[in-house]
Amino acid sequence: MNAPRLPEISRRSFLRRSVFAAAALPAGICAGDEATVRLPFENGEREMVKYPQKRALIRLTSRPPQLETPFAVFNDGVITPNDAFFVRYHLAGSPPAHEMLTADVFRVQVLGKVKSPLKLSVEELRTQFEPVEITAVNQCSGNSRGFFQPRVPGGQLGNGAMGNAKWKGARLKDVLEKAGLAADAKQVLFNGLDVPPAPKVPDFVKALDVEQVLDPDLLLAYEMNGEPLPWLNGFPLRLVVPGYYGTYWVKHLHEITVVDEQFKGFWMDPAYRIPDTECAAIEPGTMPKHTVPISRFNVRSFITSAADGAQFHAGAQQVVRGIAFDGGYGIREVLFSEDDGRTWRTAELGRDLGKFSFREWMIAFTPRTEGECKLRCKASNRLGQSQPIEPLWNPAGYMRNVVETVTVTVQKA
Amino acid sequence: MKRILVAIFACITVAIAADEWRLPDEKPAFKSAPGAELVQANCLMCHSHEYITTQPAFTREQWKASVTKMQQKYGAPIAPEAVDTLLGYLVRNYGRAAK
Repeated sequence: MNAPRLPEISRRSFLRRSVFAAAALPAGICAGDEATVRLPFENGEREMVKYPQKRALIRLTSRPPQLETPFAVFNDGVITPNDAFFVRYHLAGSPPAHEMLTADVFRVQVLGKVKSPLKLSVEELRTQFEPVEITAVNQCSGNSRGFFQPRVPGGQLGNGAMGNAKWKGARLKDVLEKAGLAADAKQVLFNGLDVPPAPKVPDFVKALDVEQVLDPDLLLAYEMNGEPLPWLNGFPLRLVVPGYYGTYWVKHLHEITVVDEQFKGFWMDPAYRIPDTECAAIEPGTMPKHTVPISRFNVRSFITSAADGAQFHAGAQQVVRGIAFDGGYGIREVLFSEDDGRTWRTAELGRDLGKFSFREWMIAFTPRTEGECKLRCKASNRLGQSQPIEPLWNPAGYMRNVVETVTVTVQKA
Repeated sequence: MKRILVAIFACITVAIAADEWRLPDEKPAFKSAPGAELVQANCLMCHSHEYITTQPAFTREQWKASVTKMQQKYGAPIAPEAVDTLLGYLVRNYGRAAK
């Protein structure tokens, strides 16, 4: 159950789609490209739906919109295209309406414990601050939650709530230095324009410590892969926290508030917390004694060139390829096994796009014996951190990073 | 004729521009069964049906934990007397018996 299987379009829905397409085309109306896929866990059937600026993606929820990237996209290249990038919102009032995001209306404010509060348009961020571009993975804390055993409540995602993009923007540090942090500044709060659906639902606000926000890698990003951010990925401005889970990458960011205390908002506590234990893991089915806010990614790697059920021929050389990433220390090594983890060989690493990026890897593989063959990959980073052979468990379904397995069939040459 | 074509073209352009900022319609899709109306009234206020329908089959205890979380952590205005009916519907349609 660990494999990044490519979702298969079910025959029934494919037929249904074909019939609808045939009926709809003569009218010249763009029918939604609807089909269904089945993620490889219980109750994993999902619709493929087209959203504004997006190709058909795997829909997890419609209000607020949550969309997952079909896994095959990760084999197309090490940069995830904007129209395939996953979407995750928390509050039903999302995304904010276009009227709130236009160039003449949208402003981001820097408030609170600063010497001079700021109110900036995206144009001012572009022209008054040095533009910086960083290639970085964004990954949902609950990516792969659907594979947890025992299952846990939450967004039942496959492995597609991640993506790698070139983010361009102003350094958060530069903007905060222009505002001037007060001497007693302790944390910085980030709020976006998405709004709660009912008065008592907590607004989505995230906090980072002052020491962290002065890190030059954090960006107020207005571009993604050379284009303005897509609407559903935070247009016109989002926070980018390379190496950290997506929960901190606040979208439609309009308020940056410096405070002199530890923030206690719902989305920092009790939400988005992990057990304060080795690898954030506890005994399956139990509750943690102490928790801390989720922070950096652990190490992950995937085979992208072959999915479960792929057919190989004995004696024919293949190139198996995939991706690896970590929380910003950089991938040092990817190991590949063609015998279910009994022996491992070192894969070749692709071009280094920076320590926060997906790192491509590839290895030649000639299947010898006919029958079922379990391919596995295991990465380690420059700190020596790696991936567990058996999956780790926590009650929120965060940070899955087990060594993945793809089961293929080798046929007679 | 030319004027009509221009008008049609203008309508299409406006429609396309508006579509760029419009989400697909939400389709209500709870299983029709006793309690469904109450679930719709209480749950769809804050989120669409998939928050429930994509979950694995949970036990009554697990669904109860979710409903309690919605009330206590997210401030959902679910009346205490509605909880039993909600749980009955969720377990019968999207749940399983405890082992």
